[in-house]
Amino acid sequence: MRRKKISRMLVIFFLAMLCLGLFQCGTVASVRPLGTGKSSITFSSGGPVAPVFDISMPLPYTVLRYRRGINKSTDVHGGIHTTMLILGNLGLDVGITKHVVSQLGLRPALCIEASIYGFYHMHELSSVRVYPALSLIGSYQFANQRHAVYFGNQTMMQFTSPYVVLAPLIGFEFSIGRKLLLNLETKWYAPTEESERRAVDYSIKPLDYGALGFVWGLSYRL
Amino acid sequence: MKRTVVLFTLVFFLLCTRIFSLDDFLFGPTQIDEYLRPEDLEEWSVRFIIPDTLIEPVTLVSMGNTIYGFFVPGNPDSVAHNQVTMLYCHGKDDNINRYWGRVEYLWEMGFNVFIFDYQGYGKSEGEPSGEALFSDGEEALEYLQSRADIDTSKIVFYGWSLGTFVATYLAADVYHPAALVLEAAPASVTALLHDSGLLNLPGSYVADADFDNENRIADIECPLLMMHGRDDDFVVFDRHVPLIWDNAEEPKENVWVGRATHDDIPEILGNLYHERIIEFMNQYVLE
Repeated sequence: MRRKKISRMLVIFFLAMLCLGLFQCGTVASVRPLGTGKSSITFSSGGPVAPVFDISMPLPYTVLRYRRGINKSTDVHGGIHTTMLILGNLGLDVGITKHVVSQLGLRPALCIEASIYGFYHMHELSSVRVYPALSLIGSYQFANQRHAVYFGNQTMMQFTSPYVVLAPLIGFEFSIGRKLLLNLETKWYAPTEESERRAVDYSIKPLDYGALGFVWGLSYRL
Repeated sequence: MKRTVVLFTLVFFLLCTRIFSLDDFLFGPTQIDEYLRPEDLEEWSVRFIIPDTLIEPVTLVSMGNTIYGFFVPGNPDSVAHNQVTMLYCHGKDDNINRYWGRVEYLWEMGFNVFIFDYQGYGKSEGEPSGEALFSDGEEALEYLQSRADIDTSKIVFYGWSLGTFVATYLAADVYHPAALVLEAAPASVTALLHDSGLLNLPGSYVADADFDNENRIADIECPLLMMHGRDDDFVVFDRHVPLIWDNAEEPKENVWVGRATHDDIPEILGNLYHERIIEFMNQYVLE
């Protein structure tokens, strides 16, 4: 029976890696504007925590994202979903982030990110899928503006039920020297969807809804 | 900008081939040197009720590989003896050994049973894949059709879990059987994906295997018996059964089993398992 369980686990691992990890796509939030003409590359990895060979771990859905500041408060970005690539699928996202409110006293800085995620399985036109997404992130910088704590929600939409999938999050952004940023996030994936009795038995299911996950991202300022 | 163009060019080159797919993880074969050794059957509750003299080893060739199976003529003491032949398509794990107890159930009911190992399972050569499973099913069916001692108009396809994809494929695309029996049937790889992560991605994103009961079932032209455990935690009832059941034409019967999970429908049903199958065969196949 143990052999059967492990075999089933393997199926579940890859389903999970592709699926719930895909919501909000293992990407970390962008918290502060880059500045006009500046750019960065971020590699991020993560997803909901699920059992793999009896060990619970965040599923490694990975994304490589390029970001560029087009003015002092607005960035644009484009990303490649590298986990999708090894499965022979093209996964891309493009979007814009607008930093709308600056931090002042107890008032957090706020930014809004609008993105479009697109996926395509090679040689199969009917496989094209497009998901709009919207994020609202509040943040507080500290330690002389070198680090930041942030919170907010990412929302992904699709044209079948469930139409809207949320992912509230909390995270930390740490500056490592002048060029590197490390983001660590905890997300509650799909908190409005029941998570009991699904093909994937996610490890942490707050209130039996959705799944808790972790994402990390490393950004390099070019 | 140049860097971006180079990056995207690389991506498209990478997309020329699928480096990795889920297909391998749909199958859980165990290879063995010898079938039906009592010490290998202990964990599968086999009762050894079929006399050795009735068990016929069969070898077939599928996609150039030798595959193995066993034909067992129905229990001579049964009323239905030798009238109905079950082509049994087993599940994703292990090999024939694991499913021999199921063969015993059907043999007890009086049905001829032919069970075979897919490529890569048991002693069968090759590697399992969607294409291989369908080819193996076709060869198994051809073998039954070639036997002079069975009534080919009373061949029934019986699939359990992964085997339901093979049974439904055969019934929809290859040959109209006298009936189709699906036990713990997943709707499709797409449905498994949707169940796991809620996104409406097609199954082709992760697997090449054309495993699609929910669409194929609309093409079958024979009576259907579906059995599914209400507590199936792998192929969850609400997210798979309606997709198949609603697409199937009449005549169709179902046995939804409370407290049963993915693997234990016959055990939970007990005698009712025998009764419902015999009743169904009497009504639709032996009428």
